[in-house]
Amino acid sequence: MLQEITIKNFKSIENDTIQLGRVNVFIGENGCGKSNILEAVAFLSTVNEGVLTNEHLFSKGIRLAKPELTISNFKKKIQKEEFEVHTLSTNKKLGNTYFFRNDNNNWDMRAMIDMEFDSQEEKDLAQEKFNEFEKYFKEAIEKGILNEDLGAKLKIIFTEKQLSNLVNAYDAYDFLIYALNTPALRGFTNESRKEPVGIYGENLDYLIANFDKNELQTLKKYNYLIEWLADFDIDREDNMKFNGYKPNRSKSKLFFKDKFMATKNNLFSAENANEGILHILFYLSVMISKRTPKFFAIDNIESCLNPHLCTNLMKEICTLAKDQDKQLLITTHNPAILDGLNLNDDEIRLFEVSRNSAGHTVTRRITVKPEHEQQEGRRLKLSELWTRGYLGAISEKY
Amino acid sequence: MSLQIGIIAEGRADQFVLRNILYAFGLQKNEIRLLRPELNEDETDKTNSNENEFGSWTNVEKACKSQIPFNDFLDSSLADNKLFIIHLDSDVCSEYGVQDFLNPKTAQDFTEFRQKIVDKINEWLDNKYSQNLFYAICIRQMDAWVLTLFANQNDKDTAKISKPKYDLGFVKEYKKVASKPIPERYEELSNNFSKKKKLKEALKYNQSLKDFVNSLENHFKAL
Repeated sequence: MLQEITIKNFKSIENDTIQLGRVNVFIGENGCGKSNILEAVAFLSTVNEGVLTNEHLFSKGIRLAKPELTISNFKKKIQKEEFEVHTLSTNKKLGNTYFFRNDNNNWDMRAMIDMEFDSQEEKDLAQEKFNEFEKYFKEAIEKGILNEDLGAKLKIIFTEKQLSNLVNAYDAYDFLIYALNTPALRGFTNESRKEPVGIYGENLDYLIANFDKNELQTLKKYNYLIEWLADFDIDREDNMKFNGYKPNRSKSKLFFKDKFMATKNNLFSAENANEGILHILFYLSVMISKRTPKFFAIDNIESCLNPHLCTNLMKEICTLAKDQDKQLLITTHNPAILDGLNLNDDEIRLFEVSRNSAGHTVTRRITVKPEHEQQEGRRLKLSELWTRGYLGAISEKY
Repeated sequence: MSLQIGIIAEGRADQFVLRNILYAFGLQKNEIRLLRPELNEDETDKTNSNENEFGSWTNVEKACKSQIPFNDFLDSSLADNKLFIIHLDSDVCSEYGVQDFLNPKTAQDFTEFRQKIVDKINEWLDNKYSQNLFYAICIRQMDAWVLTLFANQNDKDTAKISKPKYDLGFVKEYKKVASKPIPERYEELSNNFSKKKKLKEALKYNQSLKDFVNSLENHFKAL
């Protein structure tokens, strides 16, 4: 897992360090820079594929902007030529810094190993090893897994511990930002061609269709979250289309059964389903799937969800993140999401994102007292603390 | 442990001025909460209340007597070191039960008058929370504090100006911000409070400002 990221000179972020947990929720008023944090991390994910074209960046969920607007451009400051993202992986032994520069509308990246060394010679050697590692790792990615042969090559270069750190650091490299929209979930649009599931929610049916028995069983455990839901399934032959269940020609083969409708006539397709079920099913599926990234972001998780559902979904996501070994960055504008977070658990973290007096995006971790120091009796919930202004993350203007 | 300091003031403009003062002590924007007790209410609750942009002492009295913001914030599960600033102007002190001090002359007079208003706030709060509180008592109005930034050597205490709001409208810098909404107007006019030197210089021209800043210096470090 990534334990720390430092972002410098990226959009509204001049210099900000975030100590990450497993589940990281970011709150802040509109325009404070929450999505910029996600995007800076998404730039990292282009490293292993070595592709930094606009199309590729867009496919990661990055909102494309002119390079002059991508690198911070604050009043009374000289604009830098590059922005940088520094990462520390789990045991803090290994850090890398990635510099992104744009020449003639093409993004380019260079990486530097960031550790303390006794001598320059030792540092040069480590950098050399790191470059070599990147080469091998790209091979590994292309082949799908770290196979034995590659493992053996890597072991010649690195100690077991170094290797483990490097691989951990590379967990970030298939990171992307999910920002769901209902037409994509319903199977009407297909803008993102990401495999196995698109960043806007495309191909949810395809993802579920390829679940193994355990994954499907796990997913179905959460049917309880939707009161009317009897079951869902995939219509592999797309027979529903021919039986008139998809008059709007959705491409999705996902269908649902309603527990309150007459058994002979209780089916409907994704294009007729309510938005909530599609969003819930998507989030749970990417959490459960072994084929989705281990590290990813969800922008505006609350979209289309009832407050009570937000709270329960968040609680389940926190549990699943541990069970499935996933790390998440989540943004939200809905206070109910906060009530699903157990901040006594150090792996679950909440951050206020705001602009400082110079307009730079800064993050502050919101922490709670140790359990034994907390007062008994009625206390405000995190959602209430937020709406009453005690956590910040609201507008000061109105 | 991180610090969170909440400001309860008569109005938004007062909060912005006070935040500039806190900046001089090195506090960051995300350590300062411009609290709005009215956020406890929705539009249905508010139908009977009279709001105006500059607020009034009744907002402060209501917050103190109910003790809601203090209980909410101090007793919350949040781990921060939590402090409060409470602001009141003295111009209508008779309305809230403190006898106006006519013609104060010496610094001692101002400090004694200030203390009477502090006592009134503590009375509203049933003498609770005092270890977490700073009192921003502006003798006359917040405008008198802001005027100190435009004072000249040998000028008298700005609290001796009978209509500080009127005088503030005549300072050169006022024209530049006159078209802005009131809170932003005061935020910009008082921007120099965020600079240590300027704040230190301003203290010469208003005893109640000095008393407030001294109380902050006792808690934080000296300017």
